[in-house]
Amino acid sequence: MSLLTIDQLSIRFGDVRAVDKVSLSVAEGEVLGLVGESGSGKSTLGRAVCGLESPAAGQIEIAGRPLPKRFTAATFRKQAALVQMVFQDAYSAMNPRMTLLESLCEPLRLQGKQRGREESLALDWLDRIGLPRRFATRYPHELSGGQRQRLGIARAFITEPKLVICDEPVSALDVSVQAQIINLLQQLQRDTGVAMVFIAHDLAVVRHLAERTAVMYHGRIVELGGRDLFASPRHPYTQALVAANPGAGRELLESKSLLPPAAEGCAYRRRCRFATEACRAGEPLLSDVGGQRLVACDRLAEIEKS
Amino acid sequence: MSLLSVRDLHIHIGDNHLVRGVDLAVERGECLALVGESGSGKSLTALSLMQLLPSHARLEHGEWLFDGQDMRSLDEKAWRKVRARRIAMVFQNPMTALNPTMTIGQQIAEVICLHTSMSRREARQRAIDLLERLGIVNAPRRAKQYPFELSGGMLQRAVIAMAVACGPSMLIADEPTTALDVTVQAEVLALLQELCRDEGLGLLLITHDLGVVEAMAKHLAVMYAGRIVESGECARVLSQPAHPYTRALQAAMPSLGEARESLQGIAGTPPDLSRQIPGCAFAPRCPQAMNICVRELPQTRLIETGQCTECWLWEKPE
Repeated sequence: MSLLTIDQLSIRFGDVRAVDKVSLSVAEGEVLGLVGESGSGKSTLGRAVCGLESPAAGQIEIAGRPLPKRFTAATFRKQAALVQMVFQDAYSAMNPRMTLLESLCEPLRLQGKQRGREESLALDWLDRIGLPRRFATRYPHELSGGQRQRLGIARAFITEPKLVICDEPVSALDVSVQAQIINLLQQLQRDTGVAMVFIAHDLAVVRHLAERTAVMYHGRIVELGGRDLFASPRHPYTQALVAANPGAGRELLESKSLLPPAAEGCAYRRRCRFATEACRAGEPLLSDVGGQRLVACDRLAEIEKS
Repeated sequence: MSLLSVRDLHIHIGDNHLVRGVDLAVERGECLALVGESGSGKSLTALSLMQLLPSHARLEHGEWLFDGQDMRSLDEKAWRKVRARRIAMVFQNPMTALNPTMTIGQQIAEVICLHTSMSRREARQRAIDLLERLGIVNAPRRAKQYPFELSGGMLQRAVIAMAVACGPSMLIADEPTTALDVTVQAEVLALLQELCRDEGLGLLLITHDLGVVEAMAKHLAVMYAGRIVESGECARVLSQPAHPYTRALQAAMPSLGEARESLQGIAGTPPDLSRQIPGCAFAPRCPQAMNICVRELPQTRLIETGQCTECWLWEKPE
């Protein structure tokens, strides 16, 4: 059964369509990757699921309950019991005047969970994220970047949500620390069975963690597939993304990243190396191409034949 | 002779001995990558090569030659003629490297006016030509825009245009693509590659991304806690890393090609550089550390696979 269902969701910032008619679902305990360039709408989509953006159209359902159109303090708390978020910049996501212990107890207190046991649970969580218990009385500024992100993760997991949205949780970290944090997230996800939406621009990180991955371009999902997505990308945009990853004998490919998306027709057509006049018409919809893969390209069959 | 050669570079700031004896050589038309984690001293090393360290930093060099000239004896006045004209730098964050109150074109032209005899008009035209050369569409219009009006990829191109405006023979790029999307990164790297090849620029590329290194660099130096622990031809170092730290870095990186069950983080933290480190600085985190590693620093030696490394594992009698 799907835990999260997003149906035809659109989010606008003034005239900008940040998210445009996106439909997506995440099963219980599943890890879904969300990749794309900056400005593709991946963070906005993640924030909308947490109730941090108001949709212009469409619906988000979590565990069968639609997201309220307008949040009150009470409905927001209810929402927070289901969904939590891990942010890229852990430091700015914390109150600098709270000790680690206070920071960890706060979400429990707000939700009235584990009353009376908050502190002992918080200490347990320090163990789980690999921070010594004597850190309980320290402040966030005394931690290293990796330790702060561990705390950010504990804060998200401590209330046992059903879904955790991770928005670029390792992008600001050194590789050695990044590996530790990825392993921690993987471990916690397996232990708690929580579903996760993992937003990142680093394809290798997403490939490592996610069972399914959605690729976003200009507010839309252009391709969705399983772990084989990166080995056999089918949408021209996904191909460009994969090819742009430096390493292993790959030639650095020009992807015309400076060209803005097209306003009509396929948004990607200006950068697409297969684009023809036909791409000016219609908006390609995400459609099933078999093998658990969805691609939004009207000329896919034609391109793949040539 | 190398374009730049530095021997036994030490940098102290306060009580911290942050760069502890670094040797570097950059060749004309080639890219040397300097790799390491934050705090390893790679950015300090780069800044020192432009004499841009804060005034309370203390520097010592065994040797510092650039284009045959001893750079240790230059005063600030002479340095002003070196920066931009002979050595230029590209920083990580283009937004903070540019003046928000001046247009892109003005900023590039300013550098040109300061360092050449060109008139303002010529300089402005040259700025537009440079932007065009770096792949910016509609350059005359873009040159009249302010930094906030441009995307990250365009800004980084403008910064590179500024850096190469006066035809330097060496470029130092400190994490030039870390703030950019992969697709933009690929294009910016390709541009840097082209500049190296066409203008014979020596490029010192500072990065923490081994993928970028693989795509760009001929030679590679891996830095840890202020020392270079392994260096050599990029292809060799990456295919047969000799130092445990290089291997640990590789194991920590997720790969797009092969699937891995779990990643190998590097346990522990880098050492406190305010204390003397008698042995190998990586020893406390090294899975293969021996008693001697903590006590004594191994010599840098050239090993069979063609790279230099400093590690006691290679000193063992056969």
